[in-house]
Amino acid sequence: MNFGEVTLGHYLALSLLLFLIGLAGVILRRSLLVVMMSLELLLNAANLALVAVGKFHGLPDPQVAVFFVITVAAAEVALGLAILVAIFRIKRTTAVDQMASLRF
Amino acid sequence: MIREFVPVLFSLGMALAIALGGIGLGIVIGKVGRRNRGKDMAYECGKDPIGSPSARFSVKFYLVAMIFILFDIEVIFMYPWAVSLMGFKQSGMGWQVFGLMLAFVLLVEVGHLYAYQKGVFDWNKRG
Amino acid sequence: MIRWFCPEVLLVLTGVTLILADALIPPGKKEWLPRLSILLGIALFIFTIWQSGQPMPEVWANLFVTDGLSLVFKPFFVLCLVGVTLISVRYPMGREEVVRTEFLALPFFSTAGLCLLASARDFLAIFVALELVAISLYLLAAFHRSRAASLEAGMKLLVMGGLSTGFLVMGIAWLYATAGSTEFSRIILEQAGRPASPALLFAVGLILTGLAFKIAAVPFHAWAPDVYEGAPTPITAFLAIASKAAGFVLLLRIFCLGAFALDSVGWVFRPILLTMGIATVTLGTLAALPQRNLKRYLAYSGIAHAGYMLLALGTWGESGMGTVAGYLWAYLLATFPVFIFVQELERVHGNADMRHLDGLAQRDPGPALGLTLCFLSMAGLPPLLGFSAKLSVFTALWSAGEIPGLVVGVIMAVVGLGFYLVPIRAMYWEREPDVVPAQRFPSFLVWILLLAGAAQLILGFQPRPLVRLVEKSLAPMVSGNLQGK
Repeated sequence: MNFGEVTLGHYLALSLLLFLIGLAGVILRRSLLVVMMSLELLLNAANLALVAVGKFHGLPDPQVAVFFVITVAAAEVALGLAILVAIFRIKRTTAVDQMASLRF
Repeated sequence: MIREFVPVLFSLGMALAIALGGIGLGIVIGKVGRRNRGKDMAYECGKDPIGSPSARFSVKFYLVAMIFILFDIEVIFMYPWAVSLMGFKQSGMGWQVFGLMLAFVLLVEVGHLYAYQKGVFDWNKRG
Repeated sequence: MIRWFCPEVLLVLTGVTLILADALIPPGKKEWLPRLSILLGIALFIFTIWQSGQPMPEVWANLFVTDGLSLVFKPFFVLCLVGVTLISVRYPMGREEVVRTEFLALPFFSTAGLCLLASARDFLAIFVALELVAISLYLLAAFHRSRAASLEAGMKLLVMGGLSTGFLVMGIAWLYATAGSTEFSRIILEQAGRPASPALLFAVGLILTGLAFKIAAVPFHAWAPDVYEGAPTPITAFLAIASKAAGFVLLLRIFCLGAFALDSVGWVFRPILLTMGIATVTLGTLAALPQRNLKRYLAYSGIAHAGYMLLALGTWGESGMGTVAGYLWAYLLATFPVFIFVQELERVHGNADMRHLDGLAQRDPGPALGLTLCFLSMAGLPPLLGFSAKLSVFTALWSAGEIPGLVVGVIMAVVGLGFYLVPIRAMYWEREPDVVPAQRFPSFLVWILLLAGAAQLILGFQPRPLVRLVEKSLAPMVSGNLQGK
């Protein structure tokens, strides 16, 4: 079977799709954990675009950019989970969707 | 076509040999000790392996995992550095580039020292 | 070697030193750390002022540049840091440990990021610097761990910040795809003189969206009031002033002299910036009217100010650029004193409500006078400093022929006058409440407030120093721009 050449356009379209899924997740989901997963999805969609561009244009810079994005994403999610744990302690609840006062 | 999968077969064989060999050697040369329920349990990082999957576990696990991820991520900056260091050495900038990475590692080490002093790695401290 | 001694490096080193001191010094012997951090902050401020007299521009590895804009705004950010450190020391953290060194050290890291932002000339550098600012701020906003509101503010800031990061990174990816580089001078070289491709416009749109979150422009403003209310007051001040200013410095650098200072981009984005400005001014002014909590009130006031600056930015010219730079300084001088006072109210009453201002003029005439001058300056009443700032926005709009923006701006300035009078009315015309708190304001804060009020008056009558500052920020940038081309 032959689906034709995979071009940069395909990668960019896929990354945009992932970006939109992440965006929808951040806006629509009520659970903070899922919101943070969606944030990761946003950044990883951008990472995919960066890597694809780097590969197809033969540029090393976007690939380096991905390193920075990965680091930032790790720091962000570490902090987010830390704040989440602190919120659990104060609100005495383990169910994320019970936190009605946190609506985004 | 099928020859391409010989390495896969090989690694499968290795995996089986290590797993079975480990258990077999244990049976052959190991001393038979006293058994109790705790010892017969499958080992799962000190956690009870059987029970509700959604049981709460200590936040300590999470803290250590998080610290691990943060330090683990820093390593990705060392790969490109390690690859390009020789090139810089040839152009006479080797020590400068080495010093830059040293400064980076020192900064990360400050974070490690801070976490250590705050008792993050002290398993007995209440977190 | 000498260029290693730049404010950024020194700020990071100071932060690291504070963190290490916190880790290594046994508890109970840390009482001198707050004083040390204030002193170091002041020393850094003097250093940045001294450095702004040094020769420029200097480009460093094509990533950072020392030019007028960065030299005017590095002292701005470090001044914010000094103010924040000064009032964080007095922040009532409740039953938690008295000396929280992280609370003092993290603003240093954040300020280092801000200073990097002021001189970044590559989107990758911008991204890294922006995250340094943002991640420290998430932590600081959530720092008051025993208060649910503070934690929720941190969480909200994190989600909104993460969203803006996502947009920014996606924009960077598309920029690579179209221009092949994120370096400002290379983008200009690549794109000058030809029609902008849709992909480039898409990239600019994504980046603008990311930055619009940072400056809390409509329609990306919804996080601001909640976060400002929940975060510890020193951090609210930092968010409202330094972080917002950083967003504008970036917009200036991107749209007025950096990567996208192109007619082909301006043709599409000028109307967008102007529309955003009009919406932001209108919403900020109208939504501030019913606010009773002073921090929320200041949040909406900040949104309105951001709107005026967006309008000035939308004129897409040098005059607009100078206007924004001057406006930011005026905003800092008028808003920061109010935040100092808000924190004192919180120390006494637990929260800062409009009704706590009732009858303040009889009880404490000094702070009341200083605050009144600051509020009037924010309202843009002549002859105060805020009036010159607003006037320059309107002049820029007039000379650019942007009549809709001008009309809305003037109308909202008049409406805004009404809402800045609300706290003043409370201070002078409301009856004093029956239960008067025993605590008085410390005299040095009274002096700071009076000094701030006097600054509004003096700079309002004689805005020469500020004008010179703005001219300085403009002059070398133009040549730097030519160099880029």
